[in-house]
Amino acid sequence: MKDIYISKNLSYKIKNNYILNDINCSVKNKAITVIKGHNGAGKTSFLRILYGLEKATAGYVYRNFDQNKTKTSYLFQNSVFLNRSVKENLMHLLKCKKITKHKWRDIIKNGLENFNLKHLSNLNINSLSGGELQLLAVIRSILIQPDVLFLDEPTNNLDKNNIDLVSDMILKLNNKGCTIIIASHDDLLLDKIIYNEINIQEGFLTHV
Amino acid sequence: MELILQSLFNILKFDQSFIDIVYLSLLVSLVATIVSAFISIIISSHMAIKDFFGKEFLIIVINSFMSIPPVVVGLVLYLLFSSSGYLGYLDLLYTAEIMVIAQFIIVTPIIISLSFRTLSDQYERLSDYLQSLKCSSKMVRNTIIFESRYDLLIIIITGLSRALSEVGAVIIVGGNIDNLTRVMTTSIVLETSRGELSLALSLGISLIIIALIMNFLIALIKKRIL
Repeated sequence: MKDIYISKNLSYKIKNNYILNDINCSVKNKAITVIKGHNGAGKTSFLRILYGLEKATAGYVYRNFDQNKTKTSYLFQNSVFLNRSVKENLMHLLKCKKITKHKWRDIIKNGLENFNLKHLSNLNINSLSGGELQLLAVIRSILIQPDVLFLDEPTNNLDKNNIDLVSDMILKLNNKGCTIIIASHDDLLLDKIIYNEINIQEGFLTHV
Repeated sequence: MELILQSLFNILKFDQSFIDIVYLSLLVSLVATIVSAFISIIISSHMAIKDFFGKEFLIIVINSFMSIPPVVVGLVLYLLFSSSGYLGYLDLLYTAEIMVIAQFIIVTPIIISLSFRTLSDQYERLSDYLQSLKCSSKMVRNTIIFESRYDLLIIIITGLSRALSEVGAVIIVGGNIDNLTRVMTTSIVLETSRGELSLALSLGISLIIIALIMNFLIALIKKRIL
């Protein structure tokens, strides 16, 4: 398997505080990679830099794939939603991704059904619980069937049953050839999947 | 008490000249506010999502224009549009059109400044998500405008209130000509100076009723009823 993300001497600082120091590692194509580390270790920053949401202060990330043809998706640790219904939130995403309109209905129906949220389709986002919002964030991140999926703490606010749903989804997607990069230390999730590990402690890479 | 009753009677008898004054006031202010809102929201949404050279300076200038005295706007327009002015050939002085222009100039900085703050906050909330979707700028702009729709409506109504209550500029450029450029505020000034207090009070009460209706609209929008 080829490396699709290669981090070379990557450092990142906010003001004068170094969040990441000289990180050298890579992410394998079509594999599951888990970024581990305690709270504040720099996992989210590393994930954001890999995705392209932040720029490294020093070093660089080489993306070894065609960025115009590869579908990427990102699940945020604290997801934000549009002040609309569940269905309209998903429609907005499909519109952004330029998916043809006649496919929307089926895509949204299947997405919600897979996580047993079909009954919430017409509800405003403000009436959902924390767990339901997290599941919706997961649905939103996989709706376009990405080739590369970034998951930042995907099991926040979820109970065991829903964590099982998310881990099944991760395995299914990976079997279809999706590269998945996860920042998490939730053992209930990680015990169910086989993954490569990148360990970051205090901004330093300690284990690959 | 008699004065108030007479004023209410003036309103209720729906005198044609009274209706004309109210109609022209609403027309001028609505046109000025709608045109201003359309342009201001495009400008402020662009300012909210883009960083460009001089942005901070532009914000300070727009905020300063929020407190520009309307009589100064009226005076500048008068100088520009009077027969010896640069734009005198347009022959707009003492018409309803120039009153729209005056109110547009007064209302636009208010709508830009307030909507810029609202749209900036909305963009800050959604920027990570929209960036992760790799949305086009147009899509980002449309999204933050739609997400701020209730707050923007309140800002537009605030702008309309400002336009309706304006007197300094429209009296200079409009001239308060009967059946042509006479609006509620200029008419109140005239009737008070002529001692026709009941008519002035009728117009004042009408203005207050319109302001109340707009504030009820704001309250309903805030409660997301509309």
